Amino acid sequence: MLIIENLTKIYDNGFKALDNINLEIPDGQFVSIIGLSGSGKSTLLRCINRLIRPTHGRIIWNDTDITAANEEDVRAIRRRIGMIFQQFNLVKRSSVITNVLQGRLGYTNPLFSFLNYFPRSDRDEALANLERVGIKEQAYKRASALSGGQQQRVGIARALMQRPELMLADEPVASLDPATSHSVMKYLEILNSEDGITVLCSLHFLSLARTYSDRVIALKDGKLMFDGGPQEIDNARFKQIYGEDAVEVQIN
Amino acid sequence: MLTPPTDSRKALRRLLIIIAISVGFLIYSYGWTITDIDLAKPQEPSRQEGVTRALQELLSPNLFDQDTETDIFGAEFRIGCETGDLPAVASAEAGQPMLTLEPACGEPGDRVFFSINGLPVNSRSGLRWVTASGEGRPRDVFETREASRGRNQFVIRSDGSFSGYVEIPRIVGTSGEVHRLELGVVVPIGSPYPSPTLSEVIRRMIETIFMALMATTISIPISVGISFFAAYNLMRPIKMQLGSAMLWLAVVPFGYLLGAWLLTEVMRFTFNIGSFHAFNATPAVISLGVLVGVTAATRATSLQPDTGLARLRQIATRLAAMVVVAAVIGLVGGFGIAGHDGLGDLASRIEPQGNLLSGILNSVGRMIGILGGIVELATPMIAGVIAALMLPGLVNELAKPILRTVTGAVDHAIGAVLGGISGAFAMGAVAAVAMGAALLGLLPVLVGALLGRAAVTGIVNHFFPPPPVFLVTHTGRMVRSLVSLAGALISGYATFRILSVGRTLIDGTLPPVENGSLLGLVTLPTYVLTAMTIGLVLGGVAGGFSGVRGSFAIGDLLYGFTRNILNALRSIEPLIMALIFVVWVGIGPFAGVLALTLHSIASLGKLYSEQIETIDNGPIEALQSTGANHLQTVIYAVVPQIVPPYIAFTMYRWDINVRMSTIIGFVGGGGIGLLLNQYINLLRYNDAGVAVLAIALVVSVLDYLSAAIRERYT
Repeated sequence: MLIIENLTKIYDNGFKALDNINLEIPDGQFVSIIGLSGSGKSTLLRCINRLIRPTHGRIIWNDTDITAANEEDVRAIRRRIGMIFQQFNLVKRSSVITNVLQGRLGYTNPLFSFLNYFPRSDRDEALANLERVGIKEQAYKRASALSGGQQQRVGIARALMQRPELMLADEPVASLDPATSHSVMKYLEILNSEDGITVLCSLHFLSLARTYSDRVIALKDGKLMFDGGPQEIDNARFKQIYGEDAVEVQIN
Repeated sequence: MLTPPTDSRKALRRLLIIIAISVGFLIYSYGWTITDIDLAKPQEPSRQEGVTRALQELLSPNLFDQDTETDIFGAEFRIGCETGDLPAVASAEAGQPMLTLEPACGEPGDRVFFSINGLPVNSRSGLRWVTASGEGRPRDVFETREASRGRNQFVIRSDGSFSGYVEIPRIVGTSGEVHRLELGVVVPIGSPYPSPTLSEVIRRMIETIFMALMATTISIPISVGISFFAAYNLMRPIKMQLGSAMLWLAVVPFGYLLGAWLLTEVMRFTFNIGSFHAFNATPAVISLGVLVGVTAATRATSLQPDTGLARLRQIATRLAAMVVVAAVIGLVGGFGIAGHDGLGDLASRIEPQGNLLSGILNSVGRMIGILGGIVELATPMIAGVIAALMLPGLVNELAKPILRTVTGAVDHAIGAVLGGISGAFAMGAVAAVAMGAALLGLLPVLVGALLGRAAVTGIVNHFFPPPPVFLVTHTGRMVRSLVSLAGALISGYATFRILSVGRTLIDGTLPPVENGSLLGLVTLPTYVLTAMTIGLVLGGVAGGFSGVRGSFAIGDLLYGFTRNILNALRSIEPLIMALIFVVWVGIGPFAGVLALTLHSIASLGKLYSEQIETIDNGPIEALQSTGANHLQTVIYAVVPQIVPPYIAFTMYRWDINVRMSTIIGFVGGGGIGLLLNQYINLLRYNDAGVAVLAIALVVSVLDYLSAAIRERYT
């Protein structure tokens, strides 16, 4: 259970990215976060794994207060929260399998990292995870040699190495074409349904949110505008979230 | 609200611009005076002649030599035609050139026509007048068609003939004597071979290229290490709890002493193992035990960090790591010495002596021997530094639970104690340095000012807690920084007065070395003790008011420190550095290598760190989100991204170092510059030309090579 209480983030330049957000996300849900650019989606996700430190409010996950945790505890918490990114954030010059193994770093003794050593079991698990996202044969290629969709799948495999209970996805398909977008979303859906991983996914396209999520949260100017089932968003709600001039685009 | 500027303001602005331009013009015009730019000097005939000759010789480099012999052809001549017979004309062998004079007698001051045929084409020749007593002097030639080269030297034309008029020398009382006119023709024999100058230049050029190579390679590991500290994107996020930072400073000296004491033993021991010297077995057993401990501690890779046991294990691991690092460095150093001995021994057995293989063995042995020697010499220092780096972390690990939970009066009390100790140590360290030279006396003043600023900031923040960042007003920030600045100035001035830095600066009197004792425990110079007292008070106030729970931007501090040192080092040209190193290690390539290394460290450190600052931060964020620690993030997300630019910049630096090492010899730094300087000072421009040619050739080839390699990696 992830509980967000009165979460506010004001950046040093005075920009209020999140404004008193209250949420309760039960384990195993697939939650989409929609909203315009700058509405606070990324900030919200990054507050949950403390890449960003919130100004006010609390985030409590499985009875641990993430906002109050010290540096070391934060790392212990982050190990169990996977994250994938719009730009995939892979180390492009490293091999695919190295990128995947990096998901295991939180569990690895830092002394071993000097030698680039990972235990046999981790290597096997990395290959298994690559097989799961369907790119096992690419394991020893450079990450930069892969297509966008494949790179995002490497990102998913990397997050899987953490054996996460919660997956944060920050615009995972915004840099991909429609067909690849669906394939990546499907993998997230499988993780959600098969492994029971809670997924929090920010999306640009409402249609993707409707197709894949159990629940949709909409942010506008840092405020929570909508929280409910994907089918509850009608045209009026849509205009409320995206502004009067917006027209819904289907992505197939 | 922006209001459009009024006409009068516009006019004023234009007037200001015109004034600024005029002032700028005046300043610029002064530049033409101060730099002695002058049209008259280059036009003076003597200077034009000088430069023409210098250029001519520079562009006629003495590349090859050829052995020669001089054929002499002579004809006799009588002074005064009125007495006696004309000298008999020597009959030449058939086909041999013969010098003829017309007429064969004359008065001093007359001109006589001479001619000769069948000389070797393009050979050099010269005329000599030989008197009856056998005294010879060179003569000039008039009305000749032959090309003149240099003074009284002529080049024989393509028909092999040489003719002209020569003036009979005016020597008193020679009337009636028979003199001789001699023509010497220089004839090359054998094939041309490289001149001694060329061989010397090649030898020095090789030395020069290796100087650049040494300087570059030695500087690489050092500047790679430094570059991480000089990269803003890596250092800025590093924050430390204030208490931890103070504890760190307070523990470092003890760590150094303890390390220099204990780890030195470990290093000496492994050094002796490595170099096959005798050793006693007790440290061996201890080290073995430690190694087993390490292996056991690192066996389990999945740690649960929150349990007490795990914390203990972590501490044990770190301690063990410390010992292992020291042991490995010692062992490697020992191997160096053993390798040196072994290879030297092997080389001495190879027959014949001094062949290529034994040369190679000897130079490899020498290299690893020197590296081993560095370890042997610096053992206590390396041991101290290792412990000073790792021990504070350990103490912090133990103190963390306390530092994190203390509140209220305890918080401030611990802060005061830690602040006092760390302030005292910081001031003590810089005061010890300050005793070395007058300008260094400013260091304690600077540190005193920083501590004073921290103290005042601590007091202000205690009584007027700062608002959240986004509520800070411009005025508020201004007031706070002004107050802090005032604190810095006051405490800096107080330090200046108390330590009488003024005296030191004005008449160069260094602080007295008389000793005082600290609570009867340690004996230190009173100057250092005074400085430590200042540090104790200021640090105590700062720590006492701020407490230990705040956050300290240690990364910012390290970044600023590293960057400033790099910039200061970079601003000193290698030529100036070489001057100092020549004093230290004597004239020769070693001084040049040291100077270039120091400058390369500063320069590469800056270039490398700028590359780190331009990397894609996405992977860093991704790895942080997996729970990787800072070090792991650097290893996996930063290092792979910076390898290609690092290679490119290293090549670029090597290129620069070759250029620099060609001139560093001018100040005694060895290499081809030393030779070039000698040639120029001896006015041997023909030889200097060879060196200049070699420099141009090597620099352009390396320029091309480095560009080609860089292109592959960028």
